[in-house]
Amino acid sequence: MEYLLEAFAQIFTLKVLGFMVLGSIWGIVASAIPGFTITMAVVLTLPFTFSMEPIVGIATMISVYVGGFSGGLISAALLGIPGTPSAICTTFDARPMAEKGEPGRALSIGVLASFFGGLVSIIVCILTAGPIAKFGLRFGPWEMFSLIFFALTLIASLGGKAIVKGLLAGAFGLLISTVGIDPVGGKLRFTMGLSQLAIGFAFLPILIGLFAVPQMMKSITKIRQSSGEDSEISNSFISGSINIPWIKTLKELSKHWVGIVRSGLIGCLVGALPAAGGSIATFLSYDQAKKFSKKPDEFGKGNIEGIIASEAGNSGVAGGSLIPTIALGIPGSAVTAIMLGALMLHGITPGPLLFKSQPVLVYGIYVSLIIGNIIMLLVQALGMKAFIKVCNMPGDKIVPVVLMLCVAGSYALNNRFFDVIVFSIFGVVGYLLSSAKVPLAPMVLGVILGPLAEANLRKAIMTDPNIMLFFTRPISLVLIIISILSLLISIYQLGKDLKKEQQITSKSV
Amino acid sequence: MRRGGGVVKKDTLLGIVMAIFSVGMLIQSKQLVNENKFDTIGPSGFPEGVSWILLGLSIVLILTSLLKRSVSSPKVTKINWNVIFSFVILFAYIILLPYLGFILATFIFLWILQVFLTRIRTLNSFLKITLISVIFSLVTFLLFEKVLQVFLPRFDLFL
Repeated sequence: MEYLLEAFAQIFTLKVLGFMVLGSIWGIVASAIPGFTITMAVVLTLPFTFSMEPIVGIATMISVYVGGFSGGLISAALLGIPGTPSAICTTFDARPMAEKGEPGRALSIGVLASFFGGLVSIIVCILTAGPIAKFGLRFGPWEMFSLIFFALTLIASLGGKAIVKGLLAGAFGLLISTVGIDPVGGKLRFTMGLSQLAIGFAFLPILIGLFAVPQMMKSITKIRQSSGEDSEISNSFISGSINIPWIKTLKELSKHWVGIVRSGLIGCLVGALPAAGGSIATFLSYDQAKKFSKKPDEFGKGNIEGIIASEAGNSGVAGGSLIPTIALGIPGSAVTAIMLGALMLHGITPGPLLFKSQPVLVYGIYVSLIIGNIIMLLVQALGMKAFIKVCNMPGDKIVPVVLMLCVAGSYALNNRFFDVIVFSIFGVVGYLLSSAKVPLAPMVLGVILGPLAEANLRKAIMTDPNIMLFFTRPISLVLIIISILSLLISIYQLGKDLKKEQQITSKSV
Repeated sequence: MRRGGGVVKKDTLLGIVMAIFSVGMLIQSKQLVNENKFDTIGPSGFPEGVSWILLGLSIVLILTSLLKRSVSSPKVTKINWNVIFSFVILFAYIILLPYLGFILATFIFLWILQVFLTRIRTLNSFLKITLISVIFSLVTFLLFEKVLQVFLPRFDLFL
């Protein structure tokens, strides 16, 4: 209890709350712009938090993260374009509701469902992260290595047809992470004679390069290919005034609390699994809501339950995906990998030991999640009209500014120009890989988890050279079995697809 | 690398590049000496193992890409000049940054890229672009220097 009070005292200062409000606004704005993702919003925030105290920086990042999950609905409802991939299902019902003349109702349902769904997942996160971390204390280097192997294979195999590319990206990321001092013996590796590489690649410029540059280049292509008239989105909802009935919607939502809790829990569960993210959560939650609904035929025609399912489901991911990140130090997605990176930049190593060594900080994360969610609601309620206008922001003005912020952010990390060069190299790598349809999330996970994987593997073998221990220790064995199973299923699926494809081509020939 | 006069498949190309990279890493790893007799894996073991995995995956990618006769594998088609030009502007910005300083280099970068991207070229739009370039270069500079205490490169042409 005293830790909780101390955490509240640290967060409840004007400075922290101010940064959280700014973070929330940025998260909502970034995800409201079609083509921008929560990951990018979080990556671009990271450089601004370096100079802050750990708790301030973490609280700011969390508010961007939480805000980002709710911003996608604005363009989903008003333009029919999901601001982020996790808002895809929101377009199914929010857009028809807006077209029926109720855009304000659609937005308020989305925001409130997002808030309550997020709250459900935060409560689950608070209740489960501690016991999971306690369980994690039993993990030796064998289990830790298997857990990382599990996270990497699962995120790679989820790519479906791109399983080989996913694994390839993961392995590439792991190799990038070996540049610099080796984590056990302290020997320099692959530095190419560059003293700047002695500590390895700073992962922030890599992240910025990998996530921002490909996205911006895609936007540039789109802008250049569209005509001048197209770039100015004209929408009667955006140009006109929208009345948002918050109180009426709140009363309406009280009748759907079961749906909110169910969707929040689905989002939380999906978020806690490695590799599964907002877009899977929103589809699963939407599908379940349809199955449980008394009026399944009305889904896709502006049904309130559809908006609730999608928004509560995707916001539920926020708390869920932080569970393995905080409790075990293993992120399950690109965005939580960045959150983990943010913690590490502030000298904090998430994982089971964090709960013992820095309990106030753990509670600080919980408190930031709760307050971040409340701030998101307030910011959305007060600033909705301004955010609606954001959807109309022209890409030709945004892209150059974002690229400039990427350069400034990369430089700001260590005040050295070398990191800007690293950013530009990985920007090109990211663009080339993404144009070859290589998933980038496994690569990021590889870069971040690489040193941990190597250190644990070497520690395990140094403790006992018997390699069979990876297969005889129960937790390690279970994790390895699941990883291999997920790989085998994906390979089987790949083989089936390849066979089908060959049959089609031979028939057509 | 060319099959039936067609263009090179992106997957094949990716596989070849990754295979070369993994072989390079393998050679480099072999040169690392393990000085700790208790550490059986040593500094080379992990990168070597991952390089073998990467090499194996690259070969699988090349083979599956060659086996696919259909068009499902993305192909290296025409050059996207818009992207290349944008990269050139970005690289020029990065190269000039330490010499021109953040404010001037950023202003030029923002101005050129906006002009390149905008489709409406009127006096009014040029004024807007100039204003945005001035505001963002100054505000970002002040934000980093004054609020975040991060010192960005300054004008250094004659030093």
